[in-house]
This record gives sequence, C-alpha cells and structure tokens, in this order.
Amino acid sequence: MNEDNLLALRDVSYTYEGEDGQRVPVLQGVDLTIQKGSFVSVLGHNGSGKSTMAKLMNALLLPEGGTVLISGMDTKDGEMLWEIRRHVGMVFQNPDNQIVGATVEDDVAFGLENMGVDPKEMRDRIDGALVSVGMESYLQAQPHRLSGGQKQRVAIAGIMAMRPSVIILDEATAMLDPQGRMEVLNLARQLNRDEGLTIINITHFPEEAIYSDKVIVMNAGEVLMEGKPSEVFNEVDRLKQVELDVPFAVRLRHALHSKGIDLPFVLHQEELVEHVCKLLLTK
Amino acid sequence: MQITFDQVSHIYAKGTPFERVALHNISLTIPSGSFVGIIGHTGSGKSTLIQHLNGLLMPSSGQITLGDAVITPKRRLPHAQRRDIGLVFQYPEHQLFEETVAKDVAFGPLNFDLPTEMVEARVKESLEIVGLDYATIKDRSPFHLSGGQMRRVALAGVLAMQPKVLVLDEPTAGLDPAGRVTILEGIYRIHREQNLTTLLVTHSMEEAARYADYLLVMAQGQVAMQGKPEEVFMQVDRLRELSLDVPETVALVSQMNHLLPDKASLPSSLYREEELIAHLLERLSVPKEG
Repeated sequence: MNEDNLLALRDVSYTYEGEDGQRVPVLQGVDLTIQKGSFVSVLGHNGSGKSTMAKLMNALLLPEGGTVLISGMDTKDGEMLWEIRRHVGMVFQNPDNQIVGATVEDDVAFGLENMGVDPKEMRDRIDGALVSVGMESYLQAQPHRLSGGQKQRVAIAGIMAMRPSVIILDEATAMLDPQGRMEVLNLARQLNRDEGLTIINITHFPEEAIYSDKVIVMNAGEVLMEGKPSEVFNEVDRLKQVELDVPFAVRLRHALHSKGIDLPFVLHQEELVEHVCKLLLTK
Repeated sequence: MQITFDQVSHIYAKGTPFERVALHNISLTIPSGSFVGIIGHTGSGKSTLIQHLNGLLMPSSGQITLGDAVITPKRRLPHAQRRDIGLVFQYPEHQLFEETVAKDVAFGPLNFDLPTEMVEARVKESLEIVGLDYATIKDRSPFHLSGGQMRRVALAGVLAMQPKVLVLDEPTAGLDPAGRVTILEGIYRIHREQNLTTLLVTHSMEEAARYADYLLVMAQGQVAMQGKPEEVFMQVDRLRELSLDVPETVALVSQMNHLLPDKASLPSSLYREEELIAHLLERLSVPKEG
C-alpha cells in the first residue's frame, strides 16, 4: 500500500436487509483511496451509500465483499478495532445524540477515560482539544445550553483528544443553522490546514465542497465521479441527471454558457462577478 | 384566513429566576392567502411566534386574531377551530407512531370524529398531494421509509385535517437537495390550489426568495424587518447587521453593482434565480441581425 494512502477501499460491497427480508445492496464494487492530509468531500443523495461508506471506514460496519484498510490495518481484524476507531473519528448529524457528559470537559474526557489515559495527561489533552476547537472558555458549561454549532465543536474536541488521523463529518452540518454550519466547516478546514488532519466531509451542500482537494460523488451505491472540485462540478449535466446540485456560481455560469454566452468555468462567486461585469461593460 | 398579532408578548417561566422574554410586543398582519417566509437566528423567537397560532402557547399579553377567533392570555383557541391551523413541527417524522402509513395519516381526522369513509378519502388525497402512491405505501410501516418519505407522511397527516392555515417549522432541515425541492414544491402547490395562508420558518434565504410573497425577519423577540422580498433583500447592510445571509442572487447582484457604473447596474429586484438569468441573457446575448 502506498505510504500516502491513509485510507483505502478495495472492491467494497455491502448489503442491508430490507423490510420483508430481501437483501438491498447499498454499496457495490467501491474502490477509493484517500491521501493523508487531504480534505475530501463526499456528495450524494440520501440512499446513495455515502453514510454506509463512512461507517465502513471506522469499522462500525464491516464490508461483505472487499477490504477496507486504515493505515494498512484491515477493519476485519478484530484486534485492531480500538486502534482503528481511535484513528478515525466520526461526527454525526444530530448534535444532541452524541453528547454524553454533564459538562463540556466531562464530555471531552469520555473517550480518554475509556482508553485509560493517565489523569494528568488527560487534563493536557482535554485543554488542548478544547483550544483547537475554540471552546476553551466553555470547560464547565452544560452541553445542552450550547448552540448546535458549539455542540458539534465539542464533539470534534472529543475526537481531537484521542489524537486521530482522520475525522469523518457525516452530514454534521445538516441540522445546523447557517452560522453553525460556517463554524463547523471553518473548524474542519483549520484542523486540516494547521494540524494536518485528514477530513472527510459527507454533505448535501455543494458549496461546502468548493474548497476540497477531492470531491467524490456517490450514486446508487457506486462512485459516480471523483476528482478536483473544478473537474467534478464542470459536469453539470451529468450531475443534474442524478438530481445533484452544483454551487451557485457554477449553476449560473452554466445557464449563461449553455445559451451561448462566452464565460470560462468558475467555482467561486467572485470570479463570476468579475467575468460577467467585464462582459456587461464591453456590450 | 387573516392572522393578526396585536402587541403580543410571551415570557417563558415568568416569575422565576429563569424568566425570559421570547416575544416582545409584536404587532403584525398576515393577509389571507399569503405565503410568508419567517427568517431569523436560532433563539430569535420564530418558533415561539408560530406556537401561538394553534394554542400550544398562550400570549402573556396582547391578542391574536385568527379569522373570527380571538386568542388572549385568558382565552384559548376553541377546539373546533384548531383543526384549521395545521402546524408542522421541526423533524415531524419523529412524531410518527402508528403501525402503518395509512393509520398514521388518519389519526388526526379520526380524532375529530370524521366518518371512516371520509377519513380514508382524505388519507388517500393527502398522501397523493405529497407525492406518495397510496396503494403502494398505505400498509407499510412508517419506520421503514427513507427520511424524506417519513417527513412527507408526517406532512400528509397534517394535510388530512384540511387546514386553512399551514405553518411549517423548517420543513426541509436535514433533507438532501432533491428531497427539499419535492417537499417545497408540494407545499407551494397545495398553498395555491387550496388557497391556504402559509407560514414557512426557514434558515434558507434561497427558499424564502423562491416561495414567499412576504417576509418577516425576527431578531431578539421582535420583528426586525418586514415587507415584500425585494424590499427586505434590498437592505443588504441591515440583514448583515443582524448577521443574516442574503440570498446568493442578491449577494451577486450587489457585488456586481459595486463594480458596474450606475448606468449599467442591475435592478435590485432580481432576487429570483430564473429572473436574474433571464435578465443577464437579455443583456449579454448578441442581438439577432435584421
């Protein structure tokens, strides 16, 4: 396995049991590698298999066919289970379902206590983790009094205290208001940039994917597209076919370009503003 | 049904150390048949406001008029009139509880003692309005559906009461883009076909821009701004002051007007995406010869 590949899925398949006992395939023949230190966004519908994929990445689910490797560890290897879970932290959609402590610091301590970390070291790690998510002044706060975005940041601190190499955000911004969504997303980008953490952001919002190193589009249990944001979002029609949206600037440029207006591909709104203004002024 | 708030305040836990004023002296009028977008931060009073509409909360002072009915701190909405107000909570799928989809949707109308045949017809109709096929879904367990389908079943349960006012608290939160469009288009269709008065609480400026004909912006328990969407969206600075976003279309037009000379500027009424595209196409297209 390539040194840089932190995470690899090889021909992975998974099946759920349906309502009347029949088998419903949710993932089929998925091949993927994720590089150490990268920021990856996963887009796809409900039911496209993206959350199943996330759960396979930290051994919450085991593949039926194929192999999932985390830093070379096979998730099927039961002895490696706790090491894998420590490496790959997950933040889920509902902020209220993942807080266990009565205070913020208790909550962050939970994972460390389970690992039997020495109390003195625990103190350091909790403080460090809360600083890294900007919640250090809430040490004694009661989690239920925090905003949705703050709760998700506490959940991330709980993971950071475990010194992970990957954080998977499984639609972690879906239930937040716009402000909370920005908080969590900016934090993820900052941890990626400053601490070299690998981030996998599973999301419905195409705007969140603009700044990724790689975008993976899932559809009907398969990887439909994979590439840089500029490559993936350039295929507007293909994404539309599977009813997936693109960022606003891409959509607007596409609508104008397909009617014969000469505009280059853009990802960001600022670029679109510049190009369109230039055109308007030369008319 | 016309809705009026006259100097309505609501205080939670009055007389205790946890006392908090959630609504502060609110007066507003929502004309019958309008589609109102209610925008504001978490904690701005949006949910408190709408819970007054079907008697879940009583005003601490002031009075609310719903059609002919008057609600005051001492006077509740009469039981018979509650069915006129359909309130769809956040994450309504959490309230599904019956064994089958059909039973769940029928629960409300049966509680109001409607005859069985009539209930069945309403269940069928409501499920079809939200885009679910009655025959294939009626006997399924609501708990084995996808998130988007569960939410549509919950919405059908409210529609089966045939309300005159539909109040929706963030009906698209947590859904994927396709699910969001299905739900909102369905709501918009019912709104027009049945001439409902609809109140949509949303965090999404794009949703408000697309569907609402009137906007209420809430901040700190008060109505901070109100008016037609173009009037509200024109005040970009005021919205930013309230740390609210503006729709992407409005942000784009405002950025462009910043760079363009006055005579080439874009009208600020272009807040709907289709209209913005049409306007740009008209100005950028090469005029046909002849």
